[in-house]
Amino acid sequence: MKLTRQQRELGTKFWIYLAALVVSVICVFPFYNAILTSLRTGQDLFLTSYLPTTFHWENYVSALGENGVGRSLLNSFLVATIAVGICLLVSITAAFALARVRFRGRKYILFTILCVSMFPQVAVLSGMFELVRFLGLYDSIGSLILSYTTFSLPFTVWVLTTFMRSLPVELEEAAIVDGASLWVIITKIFAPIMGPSLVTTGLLAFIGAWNEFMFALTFIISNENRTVPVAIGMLQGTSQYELPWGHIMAASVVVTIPIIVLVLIFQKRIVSGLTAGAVKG
Amino acid sequence: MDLTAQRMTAAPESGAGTEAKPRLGDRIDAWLPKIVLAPTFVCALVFIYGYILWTAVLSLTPSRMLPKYEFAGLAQFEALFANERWWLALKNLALFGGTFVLVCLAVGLLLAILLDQKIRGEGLIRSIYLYPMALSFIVTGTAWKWILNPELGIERLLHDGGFENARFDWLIDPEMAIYTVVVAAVWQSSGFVMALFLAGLRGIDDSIIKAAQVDGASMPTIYRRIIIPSLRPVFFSSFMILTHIAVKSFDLVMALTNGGPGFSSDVPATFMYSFAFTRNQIGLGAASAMMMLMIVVAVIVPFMYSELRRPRHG
Repeated sequence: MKLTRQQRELGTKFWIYLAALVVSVICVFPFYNAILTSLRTGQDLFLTSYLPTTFHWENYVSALGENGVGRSLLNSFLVATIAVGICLLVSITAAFALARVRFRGRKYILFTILCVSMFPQVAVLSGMFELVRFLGLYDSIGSLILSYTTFSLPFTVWVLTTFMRSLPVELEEAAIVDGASLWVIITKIFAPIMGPSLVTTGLLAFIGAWNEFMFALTFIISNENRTVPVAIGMLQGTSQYELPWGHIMAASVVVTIPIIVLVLIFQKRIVSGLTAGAVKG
Repeated sequence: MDLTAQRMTAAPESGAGTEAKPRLGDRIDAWLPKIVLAPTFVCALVFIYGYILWTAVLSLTPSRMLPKYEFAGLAQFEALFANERWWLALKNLALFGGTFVLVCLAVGLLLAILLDQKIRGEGLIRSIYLYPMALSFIVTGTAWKWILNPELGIERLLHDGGFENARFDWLIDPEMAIYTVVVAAVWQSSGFVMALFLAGLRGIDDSIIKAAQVDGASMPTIYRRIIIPSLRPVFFSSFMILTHIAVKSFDLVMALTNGGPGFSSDVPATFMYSFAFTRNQIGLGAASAMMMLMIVVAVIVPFMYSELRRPRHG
């Protein structure tokens, strides 16, 4: 039987939607399964039913309370917010200098900053560890603020420099003609236009700090100073055989939901921010 | 490096910038940019470069539990390359990195082309594909650990579904464990690569494609001959980002396999961590960190060099 052109097109559409659906299921399933497991207790945990059967919130209560994940959430939030705040303050001025002011050695500074984000962080881990001990920051969240700021700064400077270069120069020229000082130019003219880019950059740096694992594992030893990724890692390490799957999944869901919400709200901006900073990795 | 910077801004704007700079420069004292840049520069230079140097020094000393500053030549590197676990970690990095980067690029491109077919609900589907990138590698690892666990996940599902002899135990198979890391990493990163490719696809001038269609080219040909070649810069950035993720991957391996079974899914980062911080072999750990640094440089520098030397609008 010969198909008409219309039928053939319909067929193609069918396969496209089917593929899109299959990929969607693959994308959603692991996290859906984590939510499902986090709502089950006891023997229910090992059911192979992929529909919600029970709604036990006990896992959340005990994960946040007894297991100290609640405290870890607070730590994660504090560390990420402070580090990102410092980064943005420093990098908006640095980006202005790199994007707009011509001075000797600018090229080398850009190069230095670009290279930093290429290095694997493991290469500085030992050195950072000695610095943290020297400063007496070992086992305090100060150590994480220090390391996250150091590692996010090159990234935020790069992305903001790219954004700032794309703004028209006439803006500042007009301000200069009106006799505005550099400080006024940065705070009154750039800051408002840069608002959206600052949000994007800050958000990306925040996600990075929120999810960071290696420094947090190395610099923090006590339960009450841990951040969430390490807390989850520790829950898994507690026993070899009977993993507290319910608690682990509850903690995973709790740490992920705020980030997913942020990413979905700012989706478009995040992609453009990452594309702008893409060459630096 | 200025080249890179310029590639990312539109040409007319950078033209306007050079014209206006002297005037602006007159008003701004020469020292000001340096003060403003100092914190970033100090952070980058002292902390990061300083500590890389420090790691390099450590790798030439016999340090074990505490740093000991005596020159030991290349003894740590000799010990490193005499260590079977290190070779295994290198082999795993090659297997994991190669598979992960290639599969991610392929899947990302396919998904971007799929989403570019003017389908309904594109916004929703894009969000679904993109959200895994927001997850912590620890969470990804945990979620996949359940699915890949023979007693909990897919294998059990197959058994319950009547396939009594079905086996899917990569997680506990020393030969296959590293590929579970690939699966989880691809799941997490493909959406992001798709977003990059999609942005690239949307940036292609429609009139070129229309012209090709008028000339009678079929869609597959248009993709192969026009669209995919023009995505070259996206391949470039994605390659860099993915290679970087592959070399530094640590969290995912820790959460998913913890380097096991045995040391079979060890990667250089977990090797370095375990020697420097749990086995009190700082010197050996530093040597492995230096080797990782060299791997990154060896992969990325030639690639960047050849890419940046190409004509900008070629």
